[in-house]
Amino acid sequence: MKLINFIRDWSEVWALLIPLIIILVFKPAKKQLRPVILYVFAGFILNFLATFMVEYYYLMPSWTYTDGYVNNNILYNLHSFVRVLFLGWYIISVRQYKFPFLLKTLLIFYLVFVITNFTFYESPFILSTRLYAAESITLLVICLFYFFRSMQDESDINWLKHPSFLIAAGISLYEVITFFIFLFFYPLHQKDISFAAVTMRIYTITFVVFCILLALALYKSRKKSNLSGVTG
Amino acid sequence: MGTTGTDIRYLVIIGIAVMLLLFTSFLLALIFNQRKKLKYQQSMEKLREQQQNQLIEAAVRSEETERHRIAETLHDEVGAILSSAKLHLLGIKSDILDERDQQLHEKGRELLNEVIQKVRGISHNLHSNILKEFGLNEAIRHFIRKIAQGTVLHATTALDDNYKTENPDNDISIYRMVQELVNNILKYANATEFIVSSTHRGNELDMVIFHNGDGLTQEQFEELRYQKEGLGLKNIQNRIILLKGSIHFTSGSEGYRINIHIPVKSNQP
Repeated sequence: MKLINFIRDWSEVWALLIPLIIILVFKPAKKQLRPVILYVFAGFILNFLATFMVEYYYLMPSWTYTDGYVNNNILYNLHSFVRVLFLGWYIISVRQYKFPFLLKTLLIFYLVFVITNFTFYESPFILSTRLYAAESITLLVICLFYFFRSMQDESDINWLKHPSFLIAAGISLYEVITFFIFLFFYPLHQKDISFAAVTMRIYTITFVVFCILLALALYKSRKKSNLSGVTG
Repeated sequence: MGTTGTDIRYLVIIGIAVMLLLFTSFLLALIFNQRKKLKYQQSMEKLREQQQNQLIEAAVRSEETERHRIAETLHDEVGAILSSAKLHLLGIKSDILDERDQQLHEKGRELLNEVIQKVRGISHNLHSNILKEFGLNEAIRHFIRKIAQGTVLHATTALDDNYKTENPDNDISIYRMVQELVNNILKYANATEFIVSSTHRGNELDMVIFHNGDGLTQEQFEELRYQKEGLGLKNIQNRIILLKGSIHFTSGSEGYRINIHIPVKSNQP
């Protein structure tokens, strides 16, 4: 039971450890994957710190506490921001879109929203459901464009076998599920705490699936040796 | 009236379900689209391959026809003229000639004999009579015996006699490849020994040419076959494509090895 609890409590850390190991062991070859690699590193550090703060709250200095509890919300907000920035950057850069400025403008709008929200409306020390909703909308629109372009694409590339497909599918799956979970995060915790706990478990499972898809995409991009011989 | 916990629960469940449905629809649409595209590309690729094979086949056939034409011209016309010249030369009464003219007459006869032999050799080389009459194995044996004759080269053959001709056109291609590779070995490898062997299993023929000289590596072959001077290697490659086979160049401590793998199932209906 203790082990199960440990696995569950650290799930956000070990899930990101899967793509991290793939990066360190197989060294994905493509330069294009740099944003994804950066996201994995940044996400791992942020999630590790967030989980460590909760698990070892008694070691934390007093300024990390709010209302008697250790407050790691800023790390989750930062993770959400990093996810949009790096994964959005990756999906936009992987395809030659007809209107790239539309997607870049979307990212700029997101940045403006984040700055405005945390300057005038919300404290970065509370878990921002607005930020999560904005993350979902931004990444879903970018992924939607990716899927549309893949359908229109006339080139020889089989997008189903391309690493970017796994990443876009992972992001989309993660965002479609977490959008409603975080949109109703506070009302659910106030009015139906048992269902809120269920949604958090769903969120954890979705995050693990998302990390596995990232790992698969990174594994697919590893360097491959050339075969010799001439065949007719 | 405020929102209850149950209302929010339904909202979350329905929201996630609808979003998942939309996501799945998009994914399915993309999968179907990509499969359709892949199918189309495969059919295009097949068509391209067919066209390439037809072109190669036409090139190989025209080369073979040209070889026959040259061989026949050499044999029937040049050979006949040379034989006639020899007859005329033999008609000269050498006993009335002085010693110097007798020597010149003798030298002329020798040279003429040599030319006739050479022309006959070239003509036979270009023609595939033995191949047609006695099959691939006998043609290779004959070719190897002929090139090793009068040289210090130790050439042997170990050919599988279970092999029976399924498609004579394929045999010509195999024979020409062996000819080209062996000629290359003689010209460039400085080998003192080589073995041509074959194994026939089911519908597959595996030929191995082993020699102890300085041979080609796979990388060198890949590089040379795209160069203008590598016309022979390009021809080998074309014939390999035509036969849907494969060729591999390997080297070891004892020497160099060329492995040719050919599916020999009959192409004839």
